[in-house]
Amino acid sequence: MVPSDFGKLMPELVLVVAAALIIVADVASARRRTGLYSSIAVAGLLLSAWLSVRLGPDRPQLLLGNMAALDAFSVFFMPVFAGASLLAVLFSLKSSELTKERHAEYLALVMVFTAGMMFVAAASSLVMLYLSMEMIGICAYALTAFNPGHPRSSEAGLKYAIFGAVASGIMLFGISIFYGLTGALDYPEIRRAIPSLATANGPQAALLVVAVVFITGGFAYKIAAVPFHAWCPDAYEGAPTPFAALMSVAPKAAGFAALTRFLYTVLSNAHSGGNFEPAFDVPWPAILGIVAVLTMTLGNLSAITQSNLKRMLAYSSIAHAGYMLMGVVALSREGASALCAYVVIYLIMNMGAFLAVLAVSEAAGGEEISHWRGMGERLPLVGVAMTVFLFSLTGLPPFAGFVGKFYLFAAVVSRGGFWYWVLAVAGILNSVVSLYYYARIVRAIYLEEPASNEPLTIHSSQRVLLYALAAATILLGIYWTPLSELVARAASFV
Amino acid sequence: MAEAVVFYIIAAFTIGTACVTAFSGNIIRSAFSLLGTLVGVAAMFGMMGADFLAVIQVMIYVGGVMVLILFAVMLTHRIKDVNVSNRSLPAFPGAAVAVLVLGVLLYGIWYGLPGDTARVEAKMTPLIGKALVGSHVLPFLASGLVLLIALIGSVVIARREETFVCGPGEAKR
Amino acid sequence: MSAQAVLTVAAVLFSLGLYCVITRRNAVSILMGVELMLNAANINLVAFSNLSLGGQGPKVEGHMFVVFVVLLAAAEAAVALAIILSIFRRMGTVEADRMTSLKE
Repeated sequence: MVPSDFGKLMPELVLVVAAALIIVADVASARRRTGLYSSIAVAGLLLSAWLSVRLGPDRPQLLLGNMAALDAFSVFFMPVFAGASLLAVLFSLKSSELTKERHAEYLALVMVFTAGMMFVAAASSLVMLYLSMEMIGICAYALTAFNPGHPRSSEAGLKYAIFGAVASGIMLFGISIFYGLTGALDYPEIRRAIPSLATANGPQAALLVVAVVFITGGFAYKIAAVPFHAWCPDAYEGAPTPFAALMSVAPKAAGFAALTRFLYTVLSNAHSGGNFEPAFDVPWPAILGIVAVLTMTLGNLSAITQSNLKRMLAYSSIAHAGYMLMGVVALSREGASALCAYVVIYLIMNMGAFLAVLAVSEAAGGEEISHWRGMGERLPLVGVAMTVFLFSLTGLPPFAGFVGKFYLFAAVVSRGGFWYWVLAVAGILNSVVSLYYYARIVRAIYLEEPASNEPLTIHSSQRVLLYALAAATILLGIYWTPLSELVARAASFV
Repeated sequence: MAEAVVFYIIAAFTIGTACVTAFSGNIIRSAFSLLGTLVGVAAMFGMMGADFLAVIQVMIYVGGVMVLILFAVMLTHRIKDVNVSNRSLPAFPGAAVAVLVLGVLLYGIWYGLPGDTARVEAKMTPLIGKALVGSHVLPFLASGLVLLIALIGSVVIARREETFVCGPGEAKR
Repeated sequence: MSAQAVLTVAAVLFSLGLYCVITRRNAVSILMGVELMLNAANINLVAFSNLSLGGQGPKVEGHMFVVFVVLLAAAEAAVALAIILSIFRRMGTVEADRMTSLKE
């Protein structure tokens, strides 16, 4: 262990310090200075993002006894998490769902949540992986149950916590068996033991299957993939909307980063040309492919029947997890970079959609589709922004979502082979299905009569953020070269 | 020989109490038999030479987690039950899944792994102490952070609020 | 005390926990099932750590993992209990049936 390793954990440490400062400032003064706490949080997140960009290592390193990896991949995700949390903090500034009494704790929890996600993306030991996943889990349970006035907030938090506990218990058991088979917990050492498992006898192979399935189950919970997706709609509906927006993007991205790292660096052998093959005879790519198809299909089909926009976005986020899983299943560098690109694009468009729902629900009094009727007349620019987000989520050109999906499908198809084609076709069919329910909202905005013609106002800071996110969605749909260069570098970690 | 006898007694006790936890319809009986399971596991740690783990198992699990669970049982006992899902499997398919997993595990354990002794003679506690500030310092610090945040989170959620707000958009301003 | 016997106890505990988790609907019962699963994993970790399949004597890693697992279980149980408390406070004793409000 080298003490200077701690210097390379600055992005996380800054966030922890910011959390501590917020709590201390809250305790020190009798008045609730929400503005002060929010500025500390914003400053901490910006500093953390800046430090993580500056870290940019020349070559991959493992920190503090192989616990955390510092490479292009983890450094790519750090500013993404910080950015997502920054948006969530800004969303919560004018949200009526968070009371002044709880604002300091809310921000502190979000800070630690963000640090936890950075640890998840960087974890290169099963100890650290389990610990950091629990860290974001515990923050997320508390934040979901954070809204005492909402009739469903604490129930949603409980449901989320129980599902999380079950998933982490199963994952831990898988890890313990995996440890027994490989005799190591950190990735480099596990990697060294893997070749001997390629020739495992029948009983050992059975244990290996159990271990891999259980560990993947833990990841599936984090990214809300079938069959561990049931918590997702309830948690998003019950959670304060700013946090729901964060939760629909960032922990999933963290889960995908950790899953990709685990599958690519531990369970696979790298081949020339940037492709990977399973290192032993367990057909996990096929299983994950099936999970991907089931996840997107189930997410899209369930979204069709929803009338509450937050629930609909929750199901749509399940479907998007299915698309992103395709990038992992592609088992190639191209797939990993497509995943990274999709994470960034999905962050912008989905958080934009959540912000629109948040702003309109505060102005018009609810988050049902019916509240969006005639929004094209009542708040024309908000209607336009929402339309941009929804078409982008569908994957229509010229919006960013199209670029993201194009990269994903291209990565899958370029692996060749019948089953990869089936996967890509399933993804495209699902995009068509998703058009149906996204378009329902667009129809409500433009083609239906408003319930009343009272003028609506939304807060100017929300308005500015909304336009900025919509502009980014369009911009990335037209000019994506910088993003594609960035993600190509991120995916070169193995 | 004596060691084996003691081990089998402990194992039988652990599994027996765990069975009561899993099968009993009475939640209070489940909770108290879980207490027995946790103590049994602590004894197994002790037999495997993991003294330190046996102590923290008793202190944290039996003294902390179990008290929390009993507290929750007493509370929820009054509101009948706090259900989290309306889609739990009935007993038979649930048992089938559990037995299937058990079968695979036992097949792997008994035919795939060596039958060496699971007891370690080395003193593990000093090694754990060194590892906490050495190779495992990052998880050690991170787990402190988790405890802090769990504390803050639970206090905020559980404390009584004077002012309640409405849900999103439910009449305000 | 062979490793296989210890691992068998762990496997049985895990299956019981899994059964509990699958069949129960009550939050606290599920939580107890999870505790069974965590304990099973802990026994596994200690046993495998002592077994040293890699061949270079007992390792401390598995023992360390157990320390963290026990700690996290406590943190998780605390948050879960806090949430149960807030539900209890809001519902009191009368409106237990409203717990269904989230279900479709």
